[in-house]
Amino acid sequence: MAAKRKRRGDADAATARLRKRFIDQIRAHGRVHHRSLLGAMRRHLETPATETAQDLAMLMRRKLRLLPQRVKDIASVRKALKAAPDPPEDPR
Amino acid sequence: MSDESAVFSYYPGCMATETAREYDASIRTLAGLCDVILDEIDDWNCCGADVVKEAHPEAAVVLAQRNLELAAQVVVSGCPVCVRRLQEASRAERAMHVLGVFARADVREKLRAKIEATGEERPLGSMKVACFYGRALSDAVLWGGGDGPWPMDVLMGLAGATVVKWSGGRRPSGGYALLATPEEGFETLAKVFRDFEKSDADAIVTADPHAHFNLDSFQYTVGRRRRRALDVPVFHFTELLALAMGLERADKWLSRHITGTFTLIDRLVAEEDERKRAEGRRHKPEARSTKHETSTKFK
Repeated sequence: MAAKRKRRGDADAATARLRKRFIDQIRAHGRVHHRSLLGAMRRHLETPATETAQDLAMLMRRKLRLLPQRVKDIASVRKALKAAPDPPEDPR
Repeated sequence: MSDESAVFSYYPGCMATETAREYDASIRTLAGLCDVILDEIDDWNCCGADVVKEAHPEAAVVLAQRNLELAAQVVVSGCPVCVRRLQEASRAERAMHVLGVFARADVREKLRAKIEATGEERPLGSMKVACFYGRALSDAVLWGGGDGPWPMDVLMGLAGATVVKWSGGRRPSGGYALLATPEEGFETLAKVFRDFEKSDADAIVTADPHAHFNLDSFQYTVGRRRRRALDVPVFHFTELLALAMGLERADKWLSRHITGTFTLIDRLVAEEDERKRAEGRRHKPEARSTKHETSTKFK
C-alpha cells in the first residue's frame, strides 16, 4: 500500500515537473523545444548508452532541433500566460 | 463541392516543426498538388497541448486565442491536440484537422487523379495498413466528420492500401505524459503493438504527429522491455499518399523515421514486380496463341 502510494506520489511529482518545464518553455520561446524537454524528462527512460544513441539517431535524422524556435512577439505570449496563476511547485 | 473554400490558415504546431518535419513537408506538398492553399499563420505560438490545459485551463484558452486572432481563415492543422485546443478556444468550425481537408470529395478526386496518373494498378502493392487514430483523433468533430467512413480509412483505400480491422486503432498513445510517467506510457504503447501483432497489417499509419513520435521513436525501448524486438513501420498518412503518387521526395521524409520503413517498401516492390512478371508469363502463352490464330486466319 505504502509502495503504491509512493509510486503515485512520484508520478504526480514527475507530472508537475513536466508541466512546469513545458510552461517555462512557452514563456521563454513561445513554442516547445522537444530536444530540451526530452533531455530533461527522459533520464529514467533508458540506460545512458541507449539514451545517447537514441539522441544521436534523432539529431542525425533531424527529428530534434539544436536550438529552440522563438515567437517574434514573445511579449504577447508572456502576457497571455501572465493571466494564469503560477504553476504548482515541484513537490520534491 | 467546388464552392467550398480551398484556402486555409495553416497552424503547423510545435511537433510538426521539430519532431515531425517530414509530416509538415508532406502536408504542404500534397496540399499544393491538390490546389489547396495553406497559408501559415505568421508568428504562431504553442497551443499549450494537454499539458497547459491540465495545469492552467485559462492559459490554454488564451494561448489558442492568440493563434486564432492571427488567422484570417479556417485554421487547419495536422495535430489533433492543437485542433482540439483551437476549437475549444472558439468554436468547432473555426479549426479542423487536415484529414478533413484531404478527405473532402473535391480534394479526394484530385488525389485520385494524381495516383491514377502514375499508371500503377496497385500503387502500394499488397500493403496492408492499420489506421491508428488514437484517443486524440477518435472524435469526428476534429475533422468535421459525421457518421460516414473514417477519413484515414478512405484515404488509405484511395492510395491502394488494404485497411485491416484491428482493436488498437483508438487506444491512447501516451502523449507528453509518457515523458513524465514512462512506465505507464510504455505499457500503453505495448498494448498498441500487441494489437498490431494480432492484426494482419504490415504497418501502422497515423494522422497525429505525437502518436507517430511515440510509436516510432520509443518502439525500441518498448520492445526491449518486452524482451521482444519490434520492427513496425509507422507512416504518416500523407507519406503513403505521396508514395502512391510516386513522389520521389517521399524517400527523404521516410529517411527521418527512427524505425525503418524501407525494408517493407523494398519487400512490397519486389513482390509486386514478381506478381507482374508472373502475370506477364501467364498472358504470354495466350498472346502467342492469339497471334497464331490470327496468322492462321490471315493465311
